[in-house]
This record gives sequence, C-alpha cells and structure tokens, in this order.
Amino acid sequence: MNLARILPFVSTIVMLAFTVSVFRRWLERRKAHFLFWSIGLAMFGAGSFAEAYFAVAGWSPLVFFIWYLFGAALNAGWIGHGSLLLFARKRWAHVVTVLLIAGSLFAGYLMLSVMPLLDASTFDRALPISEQYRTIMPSVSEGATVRLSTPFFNIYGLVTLVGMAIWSAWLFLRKQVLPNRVLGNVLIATGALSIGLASTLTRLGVGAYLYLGELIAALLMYAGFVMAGAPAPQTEASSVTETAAAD
Amino acid sequence: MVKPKVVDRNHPKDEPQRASLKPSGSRIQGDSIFYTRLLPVVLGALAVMTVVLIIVAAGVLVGVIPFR
Repeated sequence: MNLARILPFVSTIVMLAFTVSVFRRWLERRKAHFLFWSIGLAMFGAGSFAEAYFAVAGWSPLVFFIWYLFGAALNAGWIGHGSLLLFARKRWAHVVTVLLIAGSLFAGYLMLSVMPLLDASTFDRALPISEQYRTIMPSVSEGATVRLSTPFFNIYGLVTLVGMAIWSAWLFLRKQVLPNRVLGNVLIATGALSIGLASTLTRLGVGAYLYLGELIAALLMYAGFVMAGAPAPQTEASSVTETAAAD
Repeated sequence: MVKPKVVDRNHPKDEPQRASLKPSGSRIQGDSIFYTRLLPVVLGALAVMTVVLIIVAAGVLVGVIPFR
C-alpha cells in the first residue's frame, strides 16, 4: 500500500477526532463558531474519507460528489466562517452566514448539474483523485461551472481562518499574555496555510502534495486547537462559574 | 436573586476580565527571544504567505493564472 492510500486514512481519523472535539465544545457552550468549525471540519474529514475510498474501493459518482463539493469547495469557507463569528458584529455575521449558506446550496446545485457530464472512463485508483479529477470533470466552458465557485470559498476561508488566527496571535503577543494562545493560533494558521498551499499547487496542476498537505493541516490545526483551548495554570481554566447579581 | 453567569475565559470578548486573575504562568516573558523576536517574524511570514496565496487564487479567479 503506497502513501497515496495511507495518508487520506490517517487524515480522516485525525479529522474525525478533531471534529468530535469541536462538536463537543459546541454542545457544552452553544457558541455558533464551534458549530461552524465542526461542520467545516466534518466536510474536511468527508473529503479525506472520499480520497481514501477512491484509493481502496475505486470509482463512485456519489463519493466524487462528496469529495469535490465538501473536500475541495466548501470546507475552508465554513471553517473560516467560524473564525469570523468570533470577531464580527452580530448583524454583519448574520448577513455573511446567510450568504455562505445560500452560496453553499448554489454550489451543491451546480455540482448536481455537472454529475451527468462526468467521464470516469480514465479513472485510475492507483492515482490520487486530485491528480486526475481534471480529466473526469469537464472544463468550465463545457458545463462544470461549479469549478468557478471553489476560489470564492477558498479565498474566504483562507482570509478568515488564517487572518483571524494571525490577528489573535498578534493581539496576545502584543499584550504579552497567554503564550498557549499565541502558539495555538500560530499552529492553526500554519496548518491552514499548508492545505491552502497544497490546494493551490493542485489548482496549478501539481496534485501530488495534496494528501500530505491535508495531513499536515489536520495535525497542526488539531494541535493548535488543543493548545489554544488548554487550561493555563491556576485560575486560567477554560470556563469558570461566577455569581452575578440579577433582578 | 442571584443566578450563575458563565464566563468563557477562552473567548476574546472575556479577555479584559482575565487581566485581574492572570497567574504568572499565563504571561509571556518580556525578555524571551522566542516571543519577542522569532514569533513576530513567523507571524509576518505567515501573513505574507497568506497574501501570496490570496493573490494566486484571485489570479485564477480572474483568469490571469491558467485554470485547470
């Protein structure tokens, strides 16, 4: 079994653990950013699982739908939107949330419309799907307009996820507080950039590093999330209960 | 009537409340080369990489970079 088959499996396991951690955090605190992060991470994990499936079981149109829509197009936008919710004013956040959901549904519709045009006759399960999807999917001019949507979601995800992580790290660094937050955000930004870089290379025709980029991204972002959320010494626990006068 | 109020100390909004409770372990040493020299450079490098990736993605979007 070569690396192209192993890496997506490992990424899927890491992303599953990461998604469960974030989703449990949402269940505990009911903060919207945890929900968007967990949905985006689940999409990321679904994309990794699809790659693993292709390597082991071969072609499946449904799995290709999942791989492209969730793994290549939407996940970065949804993860990044979670970061935006941490900082943006509520009214603007609601507007962007509506745009993201509407855009995702539209991308889903475009993906559905391109499914009958797929040509899997050249599919080779020995090759990563990222290296051969261009021959399976038609070009934009031939009807695969969904391919035009991926840069929008990925630019949005990159700006919000990496931008907010760098900004948070810089704020804590400037205040000289919470070193775990500084390092955690640096790891998150580095992880997100690694998948951004690998995705860009794939877009430019070099798909060989996508799986490695995904695994590095999964490991670094998970480590960053754990480190940033880790309780610091003494009273720096993640949550405390205080009493406040009401009424 | 008194009711409990949950304060999320991991949320940026609650950051100012943390200042008065800050233990020494949560502070960055002012003379640490890692934090005062290395990390600002790393953050700057990450920001530059982000901008480069955004430019490349925008280039793909507007058709300057071949779309494959």
